[in-house]
Amino acid sequence: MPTDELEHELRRAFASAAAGYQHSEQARQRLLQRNYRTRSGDRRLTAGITAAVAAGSVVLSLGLSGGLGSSPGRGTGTIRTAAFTITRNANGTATLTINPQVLFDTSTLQSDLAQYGIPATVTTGSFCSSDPAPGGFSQVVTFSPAFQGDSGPQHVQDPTVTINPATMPAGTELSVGAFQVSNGDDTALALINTASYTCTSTAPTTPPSSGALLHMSPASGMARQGRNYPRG
Amino acid sequence: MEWVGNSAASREFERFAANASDPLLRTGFLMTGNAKDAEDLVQETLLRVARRWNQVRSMDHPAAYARRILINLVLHDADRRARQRTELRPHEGAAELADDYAARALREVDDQAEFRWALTRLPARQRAVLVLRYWSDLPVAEVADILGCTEGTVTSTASRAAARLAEVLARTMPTATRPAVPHT
Repeated sequence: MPTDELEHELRRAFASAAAGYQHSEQARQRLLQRNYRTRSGDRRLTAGITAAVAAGSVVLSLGLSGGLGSSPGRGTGTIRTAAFTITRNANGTATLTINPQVLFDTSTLQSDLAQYGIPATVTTGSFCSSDPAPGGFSQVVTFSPAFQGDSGPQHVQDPTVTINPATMPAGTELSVGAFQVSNGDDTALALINTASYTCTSTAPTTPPSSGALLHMSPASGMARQGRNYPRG
Repeated sequence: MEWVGNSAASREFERFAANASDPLLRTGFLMTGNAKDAEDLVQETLLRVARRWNQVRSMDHPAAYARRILINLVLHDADRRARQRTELRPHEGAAELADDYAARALREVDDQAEFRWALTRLPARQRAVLVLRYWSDLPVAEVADILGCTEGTVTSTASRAAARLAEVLARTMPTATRPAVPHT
């Protein structure tokens, strides 16, 4: 059995050797930005292109400007997949464009939003909401084309959703729920209280309280959007 | 409420990964001697934990489970490469060196990189015993459980591993600073 002196020297040597691991924080950030929920797994951590396969679609995540390991909140960049594109804007917002032809992988979208500092709960076949819904949705989420009027569906072409994480009230996150319906895809959006929300598998037919509902019709490429919150 | 549970579990895993990644990276670094290998090792470890998170999250010590996975990944890889189980036997031809000689040799080391390099010269299981006992500071019984051996094997392996480490370090030292080899 090792003597006390030997054990003391071993502990000292190991503490010093471990402290010499200089790149720990960068490596840690890369590890935390990785999506551990993809089905087949993504094994490469090198900066640049990483690839994962989900539901038969090839998903490509392009490296952020500044390389992997860039923390959210800095610089611009684009994540482009078959199902959606997220572009980080210079002002700190992120613009989400959803491809109505492809139902997105929830864990991929959730992870990619998180990369841009947007905490989110993304679900398919269900939607999560808080009652009462937290306020501030219209400051966090804006649509292009912009809504005209306070309510009622509006037919638009290629809508985009811009999300401003800096305006998200403390303790909230974005809820995104996607449903496949008979004539296309519905995507509901709302803010939820992270500590208190429930989810339902019933597809909303009207926009959620203090939220919005997008209907995508792949056949026509048109979308219908409705909101349920005051203008401004 | 099923979806609430899944979303809560995902956030719980993210918090776990955030807390566990640093000690796992350092353990991986000590086991492999290489930062890139350590990062790949920890990624694989977290992937495996994520796949079983529903079970792992209810364990008393999920971090200990992750560490066990990491160590076993290294040992499995070493076994696959070596295709022989010689690690727990003394290095052939090496003299049995006293613990106090090994302690003196370690005391003379002032270069972390040299120590890490010497560590990589050890067989994987000897390295694992030292890392788990003297970096992770685990009791002998827990190390034995992780490695699937007896407590006696852990303590004897620790002495042999330290002696082997000292022997490797002594070869790299200038002659004047080498501790005197005890007569055996």
